[in-house]
Amino acid sequence: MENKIGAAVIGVGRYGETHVRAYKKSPLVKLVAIWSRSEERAKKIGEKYNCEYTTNLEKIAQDKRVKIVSIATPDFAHTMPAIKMLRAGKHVLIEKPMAMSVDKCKKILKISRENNLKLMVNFHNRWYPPVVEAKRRLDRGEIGKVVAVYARLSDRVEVPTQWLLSWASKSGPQWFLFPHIIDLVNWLTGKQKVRRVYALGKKEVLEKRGIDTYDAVQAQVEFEETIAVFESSWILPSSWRNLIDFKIDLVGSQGKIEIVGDKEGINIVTEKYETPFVLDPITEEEPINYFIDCILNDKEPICSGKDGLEVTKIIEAIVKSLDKGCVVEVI
Amino acid sequence: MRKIKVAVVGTGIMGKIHAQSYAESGKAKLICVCDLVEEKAKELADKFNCRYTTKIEEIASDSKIKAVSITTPDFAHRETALQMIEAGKDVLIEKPLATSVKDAQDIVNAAKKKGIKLMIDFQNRWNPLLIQTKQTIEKGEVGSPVMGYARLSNPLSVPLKMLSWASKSGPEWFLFPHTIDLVRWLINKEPEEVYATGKKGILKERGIDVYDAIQALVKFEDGVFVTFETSWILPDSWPSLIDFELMLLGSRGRIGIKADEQGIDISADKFSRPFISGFQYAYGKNFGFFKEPIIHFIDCLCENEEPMCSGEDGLIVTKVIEAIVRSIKGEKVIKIER
Repeated sequence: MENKIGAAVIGVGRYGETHVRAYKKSPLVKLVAIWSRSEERAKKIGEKYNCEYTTNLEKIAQDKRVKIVSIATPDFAHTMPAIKMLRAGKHVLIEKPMAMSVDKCKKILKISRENNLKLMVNFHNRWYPPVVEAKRRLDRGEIGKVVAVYARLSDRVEVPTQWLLSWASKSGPQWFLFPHIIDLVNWLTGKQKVRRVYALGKKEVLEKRGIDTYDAVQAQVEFEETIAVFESSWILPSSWRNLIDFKIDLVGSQGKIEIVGDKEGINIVTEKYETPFVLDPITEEEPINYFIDCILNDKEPICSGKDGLEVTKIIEAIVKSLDKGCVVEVI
Repeated sequence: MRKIKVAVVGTGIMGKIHAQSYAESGKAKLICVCDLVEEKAKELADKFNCRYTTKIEEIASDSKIKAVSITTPDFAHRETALQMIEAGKDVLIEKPLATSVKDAQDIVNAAKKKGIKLMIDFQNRWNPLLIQTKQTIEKGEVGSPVMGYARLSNPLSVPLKMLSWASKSGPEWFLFPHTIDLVRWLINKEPEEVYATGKKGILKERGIDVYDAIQALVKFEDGVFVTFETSWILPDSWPSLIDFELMLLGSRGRIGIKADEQGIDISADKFSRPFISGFQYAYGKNFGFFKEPIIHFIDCLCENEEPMCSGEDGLIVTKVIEAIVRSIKGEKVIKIER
């Protein structure tokens, strides 16, 4: 018990609960407390996982038992708690996107460095088994150098209209979904510099339902060696086989890799046709276990604050291109 | 009924399919084939028991010939087309209509002036997968179009072995005509703006100075946008001659097409998914949708109707492709002139 590292989770929505569950399951961690803005939600999760709960962030910051903190608040609400926790000397695992502006990312990164604390951005798809295999093959040079990439990650329409309803309009497919595929492509293709970005988006379906976000976005991103298209949508029909439509196709100088991320070996046909997720326990919990391992063994996490910053930089350029309708040069 | 007398200029892969389709059509009679290479012309003529020539003038000046298929390489449509049109023949041209807007415009203008029928062979409009897609969209099942992604690529063997003239074309001229025409037809909207990136290197090193891969983001009317991707460098272990994928997202639904998966895979020396729906020869005749537009062309001539896939359709596709190439070179968004 005394050897266990104390953890807290800030923001216990759908994904925050994954962090809570992972900490609870880990033999190396003592889940000390959780925080939610909502008293009701805090109580519910606190009681379910038998830990302390609070609606006061200060309490977690000042709790000396808490050494590591997960931040799983909505996309736009990462910066303040991240800075507070880093200032209080805690290592931080932050959900993607790291923050919704480059300036905010830089601030978080700076404070983590000044205080010599570990900062990891939870790009959990780096643990998705097909992606792990793709990375291994790419690193072995099996398809040569990557020439062109097409990466798609979309959600069924219930994600913005039911799951995230309260804050969907403050995010959008470009902030909620692009971080996954942009980080993956950055990582898979060797973290090349970005030169230029051009994007188009369309608003209509969600706007009519009172959510002012893009229905769909496509972005062309030109890296030093590779050209890439990123595509995300939030209006996939509910009849689609999985909650997500996820694929990455990489064309290399000597081969091709296709990752299909929404078909995991089982099809279920009942009143509808479904290809459910079966790899989530690996994809969602392993990165959290990895973060714990980095803290305990003083390793720098692979999904660094710098990687988080790079992703936000690209999305910021995409948003600029969407707003201005022009090609954006990235410095 | 009197059969329409036809000729085929260009006896490559598509030329053979045109000749075969005319020969099987009850309404056309193939009377001459033409190729710069005499042996190739003779070989095809022997097969279909018709005349052959190496001179297009011979076809142009033969007043018995009413219609001509032009199946020369991508870049070599202009002269033949203009001569045939000038001679008053109806013309069916393989896609792309031409590899420059000027050539395409000249052909369209000449056809209008002369009042002949001009059709571009966008055969994928007859592909059963795409007929289904068109009908699904028209019924409103997926709502109004929002976004799309269309990819059509070939393995390396296509530019390196199959096409002797690859360096005068490129994946943009050889493959984009299919997907650009299809999308424009499916969503029933005109293209307005183009931004594209492309990479050269692998084919260039092998002596063919064309793009390895291109990605183009095209904005259509009403803000609908579609990414077109094409590549000529897929590994030859790729199980099909094409990598053909289409995704259309509508306000109420999604349509996905994997056109290189046609219900059969074969594991022999290599794993392959043969392309069976376009052209297959069996029981002494030709099966598949490749012949359908050719038959449609002949039907239109018999009934004096305007064919689908007009010269204008071909011209717009060429405009988009030319804009894509300009966008890659200029690193900027290009507006498409109407």
